[in-house]
Amino acid sequence: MNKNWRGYIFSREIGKQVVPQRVQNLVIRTCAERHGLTYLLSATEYYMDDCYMMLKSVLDELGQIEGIIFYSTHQLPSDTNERMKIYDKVLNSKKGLRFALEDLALFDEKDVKLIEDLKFCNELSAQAIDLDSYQESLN
Amino acid sequence: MPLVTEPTIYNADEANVIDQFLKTGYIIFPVEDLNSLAKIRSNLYENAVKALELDSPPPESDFFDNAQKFILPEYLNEIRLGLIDKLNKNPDNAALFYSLAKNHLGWIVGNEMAIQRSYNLGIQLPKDSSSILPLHSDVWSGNSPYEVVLWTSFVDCHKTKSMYLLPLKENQKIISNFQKYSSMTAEEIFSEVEDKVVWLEVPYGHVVIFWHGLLHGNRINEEEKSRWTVNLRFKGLLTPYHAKELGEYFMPLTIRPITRIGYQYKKPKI
Repeated sequence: MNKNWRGYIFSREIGKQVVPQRVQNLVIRTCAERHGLTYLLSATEYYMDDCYMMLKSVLDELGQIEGIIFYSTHQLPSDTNERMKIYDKVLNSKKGLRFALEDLALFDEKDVKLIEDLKFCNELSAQAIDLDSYQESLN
Repeated sequence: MPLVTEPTIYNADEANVIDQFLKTGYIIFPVEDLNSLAKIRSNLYENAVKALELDSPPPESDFFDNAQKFILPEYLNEIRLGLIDKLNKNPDNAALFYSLAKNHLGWIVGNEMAIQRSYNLGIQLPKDSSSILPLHSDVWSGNSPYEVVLWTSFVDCHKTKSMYLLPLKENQKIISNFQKYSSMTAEEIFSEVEDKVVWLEVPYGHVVIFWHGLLHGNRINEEEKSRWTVNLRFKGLLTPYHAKELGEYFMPLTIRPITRIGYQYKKPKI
């Protein structure tokens, strides 16, 4: 069985944090080792906002690999339709996605539901005012 | 004087729990489903006996209190980590732990919740200094203040076999006067508050919910028997997260239908 998984890292912020690419790759490498997968050198997304050119290239490569290991679910596009297109392409190719930081995988519709739950809950909770901002607003 | 003054909103049990939690920051109560607790403990027993390769294991009722007879301190952490792995891999555990305190969590946290992904198992053998957790507040080290810990014990806990915490009012004094303590070690702060901390008396069949912003920790277990506990965090699903994020550290436990419908709602276009 083909166990080659392509890493996918960012050169822009991930969830409002800049994560060094070396750290992203280390987390992906550990994930691959834990699951007995062969880790292929990561594709690095361009730094421009909402740019997914490299991801699209990797998706075109799905015929030769088993799937893509993202550093985190936070790298998925914020646009729901764009995400759905990615899931459809991966599932129709009978391949998978992994998210190294969260140690989650996406292989079927049930996994899509969980990842989507995470996306929208993260988005909603990020809109809740945090304690520091609240206290600053009182001053 | 009760802090909750809206009896028409909360029933008596709920009002009592909320009132006590607002006063102290913690509550100890009988588990809501004793069968679930028994099931968790049986699984833990079976896994521990297997991990320790015991030829003639003691009955479950004797095992946990007397674990010091079967576990050498130098192997304690290895055994503990192996058992945590088993806890994490059992998909039934989230529902089992939740059922221990479903109503209380609902009253204190809410009914849309996230649950910690990893179970923290603590084993404190008598006189063992390797498992001391110095005085700390989880909120000072990356957890958000919108979280509680469900502390589940598999033995009777009392005195140094248990954990201690600093109740809410005393805790607030430390926070509001933090500069005084900021250059102290955890041990020095403990000395300052030692006479004010509460050692939790938790018989088997009871659990604790506490706000992990309270200063808490444990000392060397000076009692004769071992302590076995699991701590697990819960928080409002849509409340702010800090360094422990949804997905990486927490997972959604309950999402109500109207939240899904609301999130997916699209404003009609003309």
